[in-house]
Amino acid sequence: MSGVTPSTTGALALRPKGVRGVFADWGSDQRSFKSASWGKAMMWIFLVSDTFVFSCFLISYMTVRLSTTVEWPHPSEIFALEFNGKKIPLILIAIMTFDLITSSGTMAMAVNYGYARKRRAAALLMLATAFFGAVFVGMQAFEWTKLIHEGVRPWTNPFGAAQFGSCFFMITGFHGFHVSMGVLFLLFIARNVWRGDYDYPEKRGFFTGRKGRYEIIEIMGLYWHFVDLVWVFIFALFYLW
Amino acid sequence: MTVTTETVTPRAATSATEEAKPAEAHGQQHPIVIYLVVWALLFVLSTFSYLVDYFDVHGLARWSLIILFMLLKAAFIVAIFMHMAWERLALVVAILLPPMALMVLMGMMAFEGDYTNSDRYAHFALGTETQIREAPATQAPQVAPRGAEAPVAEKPPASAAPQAPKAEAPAERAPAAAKPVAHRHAAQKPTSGHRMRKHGRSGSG
Repeated sequence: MSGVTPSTTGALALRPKGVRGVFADWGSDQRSFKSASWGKAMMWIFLVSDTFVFSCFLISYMTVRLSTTVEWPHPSEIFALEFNGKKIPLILIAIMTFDLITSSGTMAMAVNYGYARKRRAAALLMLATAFFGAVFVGMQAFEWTKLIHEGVRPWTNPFGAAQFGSCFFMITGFHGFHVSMGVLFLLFIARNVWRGDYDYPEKRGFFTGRKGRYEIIEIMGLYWHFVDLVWVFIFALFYLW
Repeated sequence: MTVTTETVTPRAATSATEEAKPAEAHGQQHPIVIYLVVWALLFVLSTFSYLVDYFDVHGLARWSLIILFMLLKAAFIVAIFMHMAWERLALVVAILLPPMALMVLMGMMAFEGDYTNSDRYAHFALGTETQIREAPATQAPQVAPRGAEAPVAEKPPASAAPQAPKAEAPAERAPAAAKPVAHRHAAQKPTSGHRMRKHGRSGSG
């Protein structure tokens, strides 16, 4: 339990709360994020920048969809799958959504087990998260293949407004890339946790030369939940709208 | 021995009080039940938003439900899974306020997109680009259900082979000739319903 906020452990409980706390923290002439370590704060700041990137994609999607005079393709029909000769609308995307939520759940539990020092359980849950992430990417690859075979291109498609293709490939491609990187990140951290790297003081990071902490699982989790969060917006705004 | 225990006890006491205020100093460790409940909630909310599509809800109900479920899900993920609910307000403000600037961008681009759209309706020979390109392949399913009479009138020239390559690129830029303009005004009536729907969408973001 030592390393999360090294200097202010005792003082933190005494700090003012609420809005007064905001001014006190920012005006303290020290670090502003009293409850978050540098690692967590930096991950949050990275995620804010990533929010802006994804928002630019989604807002440009909104702009082209608003401005086109051609009917926008119907995602509900395009992403339907046939089961026993019956077409179920948007089912593939629904499965992908549930898959990603499930991975978020296992990730949250991995964080918990990490802080409880049950490192085997934490590592296994992270592997499960990575598995669900890989399944997600696999389904996305299937979806891309299907659409490309149907003639969807970034500049044209057989269903309607040409901008559909560019929005689709850009937004889901960028999101899928995030998921893929997250899977690699997860596997890497899971290996460290499994070996117990964060329990032995002599184990140091190959890059930073610092001793790792179990907090890395939480930081990793922030990234993973963010990927899920972005999917919530893509699901609602691109697929359901 | 006694001396050390005495020095340790007050520290243990403070850490105990911190444990009562969850996780501010000791990493984010919470009862696992919370995660399971949120997990189940996310499943339920996702099912709801999927059902909106499955039962083909339309218009205002559709986008308000989609937005509602989306925001609820996002709030649960950020607050519980990402532990924002237990962070100090200084961090919450620093992380959640900057993205609010995106609302301004969204508003401006909604205005811009709407303007471009009305501009195209005012000055373009509508629908020519895709129709000419796609008419040979997917004529019947494409044009018929979307409920505009205009495409039907413009189809004959579209199906002619020599027209297709010419229209591919410059169709958008081509200024409308006098005759198409008159034709388009006739066509604008039926499509206005379609435009209204888009306006509704833009308002919601």
